[in-house]
Amino acid sequence: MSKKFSGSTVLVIILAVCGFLFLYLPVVVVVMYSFNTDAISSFPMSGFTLKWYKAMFANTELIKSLRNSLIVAFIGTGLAILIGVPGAYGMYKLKFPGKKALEKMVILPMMLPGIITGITILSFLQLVGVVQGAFAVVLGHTTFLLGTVLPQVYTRLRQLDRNLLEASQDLGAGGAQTFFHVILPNIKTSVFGAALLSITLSLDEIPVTFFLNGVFTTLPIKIYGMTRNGFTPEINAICSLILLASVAAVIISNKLSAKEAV
Amino acid sequence: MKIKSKYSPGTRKFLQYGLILPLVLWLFMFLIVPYVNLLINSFWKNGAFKVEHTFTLENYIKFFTSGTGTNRPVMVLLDTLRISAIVMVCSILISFPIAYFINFKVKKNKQLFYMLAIIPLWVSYIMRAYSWRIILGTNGILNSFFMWTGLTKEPIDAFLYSDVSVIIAMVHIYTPFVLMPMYTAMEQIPRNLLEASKDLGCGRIRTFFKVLLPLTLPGVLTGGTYALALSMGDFLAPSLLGGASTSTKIANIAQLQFGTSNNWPYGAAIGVIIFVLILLIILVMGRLEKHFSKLEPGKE
Amino acid sequence: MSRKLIELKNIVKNFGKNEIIKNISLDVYEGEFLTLLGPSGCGKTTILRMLAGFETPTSGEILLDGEDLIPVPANRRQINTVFQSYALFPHMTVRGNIAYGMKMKHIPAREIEERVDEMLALTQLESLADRKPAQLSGGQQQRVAIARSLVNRPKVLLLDEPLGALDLHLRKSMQIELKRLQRKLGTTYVYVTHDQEEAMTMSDRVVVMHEGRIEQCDTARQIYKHPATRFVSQFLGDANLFTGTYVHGDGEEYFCQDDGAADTYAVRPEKIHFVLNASKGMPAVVTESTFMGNVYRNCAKLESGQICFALDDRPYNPGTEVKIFFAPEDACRV
Repeated sequence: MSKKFSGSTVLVIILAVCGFLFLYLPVVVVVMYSFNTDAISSFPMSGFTLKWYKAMFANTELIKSLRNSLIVAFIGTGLAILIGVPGAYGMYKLKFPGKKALEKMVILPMMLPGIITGITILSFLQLVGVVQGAFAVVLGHTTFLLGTVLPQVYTRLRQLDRNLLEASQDLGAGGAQTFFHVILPNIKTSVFGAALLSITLSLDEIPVTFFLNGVFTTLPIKIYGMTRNGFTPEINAICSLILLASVAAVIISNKLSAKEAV
Repeated sequence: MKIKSKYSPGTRKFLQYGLILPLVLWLFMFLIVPYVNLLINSFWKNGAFKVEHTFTLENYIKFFTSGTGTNRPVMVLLDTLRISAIVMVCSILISFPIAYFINFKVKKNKQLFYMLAIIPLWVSYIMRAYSWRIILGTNGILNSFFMWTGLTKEPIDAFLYSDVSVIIAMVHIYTPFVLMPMYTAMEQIPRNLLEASKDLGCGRIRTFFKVLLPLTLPGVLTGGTYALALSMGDFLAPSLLGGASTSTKIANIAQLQFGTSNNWPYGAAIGVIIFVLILLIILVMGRLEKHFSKLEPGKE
Repeated sequence: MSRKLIELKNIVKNFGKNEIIKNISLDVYEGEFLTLLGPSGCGKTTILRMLAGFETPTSGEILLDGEDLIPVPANRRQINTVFQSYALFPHMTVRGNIAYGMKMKHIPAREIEERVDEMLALTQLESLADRKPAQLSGGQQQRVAIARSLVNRPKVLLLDEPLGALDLHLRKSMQIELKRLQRKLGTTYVYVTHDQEEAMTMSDRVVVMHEGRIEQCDTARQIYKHPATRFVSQFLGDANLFTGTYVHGDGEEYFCQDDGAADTYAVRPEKIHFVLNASKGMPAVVTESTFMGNVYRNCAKLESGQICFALDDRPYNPGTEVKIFFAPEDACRV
């Protein structure tokens, strides 16, 4: 039965290709036009240049906002791991009521649009006297990053042999020993993958940051400001580099998780 | 020699629960309390100089009665819902052939194709929104392309700053959210089920509608919910790509209250309304999804 | 006479509303190979887990060497477990796995190395010492699991259906292996299985369990020859149960089936004789004759409808009319 060139298959292929084209068109356009000599992005491209990249590296405000973003990303991810990994382990090990509710609560900030998380935390911080700024942004980011770290680590834990924990105890290990010698080595790539993902998400985050940042500018916020003001291909250059970094991070994260899953 | 434990059983139990304590505390402080606080805030009065902690319904009343015509917040809310629903449907329509293609027509390197389809998700949000601006703008790629090929003489303004541009950009942004659960759902359909169906005499089309579609539905619903919920609260894409009227979605109105309009209680009220609405959508979709999941063979 | 190492007194275990262990008292003697035998769900694994420290009895006492064991946490008991899934640490080598217990107890490195080498030699794992569990076969993983436990010189070794995942040939050789180790080191074994042949061949004593209670606790031979209850006799192979009485006739005693009789007797298949052309004995018709490798398993249907199983060194054609005989001393009243 040769179905290879049947009508429906051709249709599917055409539609799928169109879909792929739609998804990639903007990506390709932005990257291509980051090399365009003209400031306005018209078709066809007027010439090839690296001047926008040079301008980008010279833009101190931009570099500063990148630094800010990285600080928030690393601290936020760090906190999410310090809270989320033991949390996932506790959920795996212990029996207590409301586990399902806890699971759902953790991912809530991921399911709701950022504006909700943004305004709720903003109002709360105002209540307790925390001003908008770097600290507030870190708090906000950590809250939704937990929704990245915890589910991933918890899933990984549940893939482990049920008896590993007991075997470790049986052989004489205490709680901390079991965690560091048996559990951690077997989840470390999942933790790393989740961390990488978290950093990527944090670096790209706008809505929550928007409400909490005050004058503390992060990279995406800065870019957002730039886009509202005009069309410099400098923006294209930044975006192209971000694209490169994000893709690399996700590929690495994926490969690690896949390698570890037994 | 008496074998004794280092800690009493009571202490040990306590230490173990210490594992989840930071998590529970954090969620309580930064999730539960803020949500409750928002609710309370929505019932406060926005005084001349500061917010007064007196109970009032004026914010909600304002929401349902203020404005005229399409400016009325309720209309904006409905309009946002309309746009988001369109975005959801378009995302599903685009995702489906891609998911189907990778799942059933690709023999080798499925993982690679899947990653290729997902990569646009990991491109910066701002980049994806911005890119449609340069494509659809008056001097943008699309217009200059049409003029270059001679299809049009003048640039078409209508591409940008309209409902269409917002929808296009949001579809582009949220399609990967739909694609992922849809792909996963399709992947989990046992292949021999489809073979069996054809074996029993159902043509390809009937197999498609009777077997494939119902089994993919849970994944579609999950992804669709995601797209719907997230796009409802999106205020960035509309402000970048929307026109005079279409740049104001419900989330934009909410956002303004915390900025220039400086009416936090009112903003809180809008926030609560959006929150409740989205929660309802998630619950309803969740129920639907459960209902359709029951049709899965493995679950019987 | 060896002393009592473990004493279980009136153990009851409930999981929520389910009474898993109804009331069990059991003594385990030092140096013995004791097997808990029973069908799935009878509670044998639960007993094992209570001994290991992973479950706590709802009521009752457990004593180890006369000391109360229940308050002692699992990691402080001088008891080690071999799990059904082996539970080897996937990220450590064989050597690392075996050394783990000693390392956790902060035993000096040199002593650890010595004892690990000793155990590797004892279980014939020397050539595999630096491999990871994923690179080992099922049987090899099994041996590592045992080595990992035994190297800690526990007072008791608990084994939870360790041979379940192995094929028949490997299982047989591992049974011999386990027995050899037990004899050599003198460790007390508490073994759990649902395979009665395994229990019979390896154990000093067998505890037959059913629905949370002990049906019988004795040596394998005694249980086999003199099953205490109906369950025990049926569980241990195709026991034939006949209700009826012995009748004298022609200078012989022979058995007459009678459902109304007071006594039921259990007879082993190998003790059943099919006789052709006999005048006395229970009439039956052969239904099946299967070759088992070294014997034939012959089934015959009695007048009452009951199927009777016999092991013989010759087959019988289905449809043959035979009479069923067995000697009174081979019949055990249950």
